[in-house]
Amino acid sequence: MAPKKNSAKRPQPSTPKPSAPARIVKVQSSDGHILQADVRALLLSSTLAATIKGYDDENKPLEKLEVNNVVGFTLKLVLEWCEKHKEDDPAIAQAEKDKKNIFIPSWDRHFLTKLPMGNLFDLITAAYHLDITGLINYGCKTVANSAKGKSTEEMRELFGIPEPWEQPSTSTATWDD
Amino acid sequence: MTESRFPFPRLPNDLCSKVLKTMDPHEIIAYTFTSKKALSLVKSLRLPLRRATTKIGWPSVRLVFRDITVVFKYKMGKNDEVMTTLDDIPVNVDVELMRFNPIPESKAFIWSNQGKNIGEWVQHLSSMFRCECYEAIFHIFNTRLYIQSLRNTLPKLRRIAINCLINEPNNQEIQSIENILRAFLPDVKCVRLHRVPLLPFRNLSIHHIGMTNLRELILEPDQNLKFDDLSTLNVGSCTIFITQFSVQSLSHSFQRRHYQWFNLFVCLLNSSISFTFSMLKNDKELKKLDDTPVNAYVEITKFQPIDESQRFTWSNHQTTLGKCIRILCSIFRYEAYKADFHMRMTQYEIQSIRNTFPKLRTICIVGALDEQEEHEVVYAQKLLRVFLPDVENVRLRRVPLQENLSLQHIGMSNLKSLNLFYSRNLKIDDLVTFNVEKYVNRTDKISPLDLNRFFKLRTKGCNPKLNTDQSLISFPYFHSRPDIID
Repeated sequence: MAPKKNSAKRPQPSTPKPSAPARIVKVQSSDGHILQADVRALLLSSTLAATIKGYDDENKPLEKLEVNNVVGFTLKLVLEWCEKHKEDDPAIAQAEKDKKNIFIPSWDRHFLTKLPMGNLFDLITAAYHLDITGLINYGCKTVANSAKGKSTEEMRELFGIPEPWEQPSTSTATWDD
Repeated sequence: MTESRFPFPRLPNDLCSKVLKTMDPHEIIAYTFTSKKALSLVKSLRLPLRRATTKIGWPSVRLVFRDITVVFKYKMGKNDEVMTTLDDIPVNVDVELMRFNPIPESKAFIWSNQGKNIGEWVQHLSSMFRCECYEAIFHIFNTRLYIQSLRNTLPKLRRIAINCLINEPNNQEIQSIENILRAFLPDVKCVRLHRVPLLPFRNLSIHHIGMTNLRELILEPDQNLKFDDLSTLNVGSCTIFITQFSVQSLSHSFQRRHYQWFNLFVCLLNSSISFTFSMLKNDKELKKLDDTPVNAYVEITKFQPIDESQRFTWSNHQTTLGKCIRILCSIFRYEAYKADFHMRMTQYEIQSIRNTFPKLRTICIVGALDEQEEHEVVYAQKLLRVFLPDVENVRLRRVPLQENLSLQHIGMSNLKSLNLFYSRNLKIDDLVTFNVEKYVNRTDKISPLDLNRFFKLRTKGCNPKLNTDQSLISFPYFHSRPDIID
């Protein structure tokens, strides 16, 4: 079958390429777990990239990065995703940022859909704090897909929103504040 | 919280917005019913909507997005009854989604009524998107609508259509129609009224509606419309679907506002109007322009959006044929009038023809198939003399050319085009002398020798004005390819 015309626009799954030897750094989560990651994977996070750049500019040895707002389990998921996508062109994720129709590659679809909803929430929130555009795109699209074709009642169930009579009636205070 | 729940409201607003933007419209709408915060979040996105059409009566809301259309149909009772007020609560809501891109598909869902009445549904759906084309269709049948609730419920409408389902609406229905018009006329650009009674004493006159600077007014009255009422209209275009009106009243109205009514009529139709006057009664021919036709068959042919035609029969309104022609020709600003005269059928007085017809751009005289009588030939000659000074195009079919009506005489009159079809007594010497830009001659009267002589003279410079690209002489026995001059 001939390749689809727009296939070039879609993010291609990462393929290992011959490259320079990996520069491994330690990453500490908010609950004290220490994980190891390739710097190229960490550069997918704009927040961590800025920190790493700061160390490099001052020629300080980068021994350990502290991620204060992400717990160990979630950080491990984040690093797993980043490791898989460390070879990706960051421009692809940027280009998809404001798109309605985001194509999720099969590895990412499998990776995100196998997670329980609570973990998916933590992962997306962590990606938001670490500013990882690609993971945010795929995470949000996965949430949208989970609501596909659902009625209001089903969405209320899925998103954990109380029934109307359980919500505060005042206009200033919302039920989840 | 169970693991099957995604605590969506706890996501940062940026992420919530991002998730919502990747959802389909009906899913976004379903989400807005979950909480007030959800609605306010969706409102803040200001998602674009191309058109929103609300129907009152058999209530529905149609939302047209870029490549998706979502229709909400409210089921009113088991028998799908007509709603009477905006406070009526639907049993449930049929939601239909139509997607056009990348592949056409449609889906249907049944939603609960969300504990809302029709007014609240309409208000909810109208409030969440950024749309500049809100429109509403009101089917009036036992309907009770009040100004304040209409204003509170519906956004500023660009178009409204009011359809009276019964011929003689009761007082309550008329009051509802009045309320609709009073609520929306200040902002609305297009009004369509179908079978709405026009009651001057109840703020329901054409005069009242037409004063409001509308861009478009479409009227489908179930009664005779007085064209005098239309003379006060202040609308960009007006479409009137009518089956009967008098030619005289039409003319009277048009003559009052000549130029504007011309535009009005064109916008009305995108079409052609054909008036065919019936001239035969008891096998008696009407040969004078002062005679009165039996009646007129009017055919209106619309070309857009689809070809369709309507036919009406008008009475003669005691108007003579000449007067009808004068009226119809005086209505529009037009400079390319054309008239066909069938020599055997029409023997009108030359003076009355001169007085009746405007300046013609094209004249076509058609002779009978058999041999013409002397008076017919004389009549054709007279006709040509009347119109030749102004006419630009002459078509002669089977018209005998005699000494006092030679082709030379016609061809000297600075015509743009001259078409001859089987003209009798055609002389090649006449053909050489004419002064026309375009010449078409279909004949069997020119011998090959004569034609050869004509070509030779042509190469020497005769007929300098002739545009040879547009001219041709064809012979009936050369069917396959007409001979182009030069």
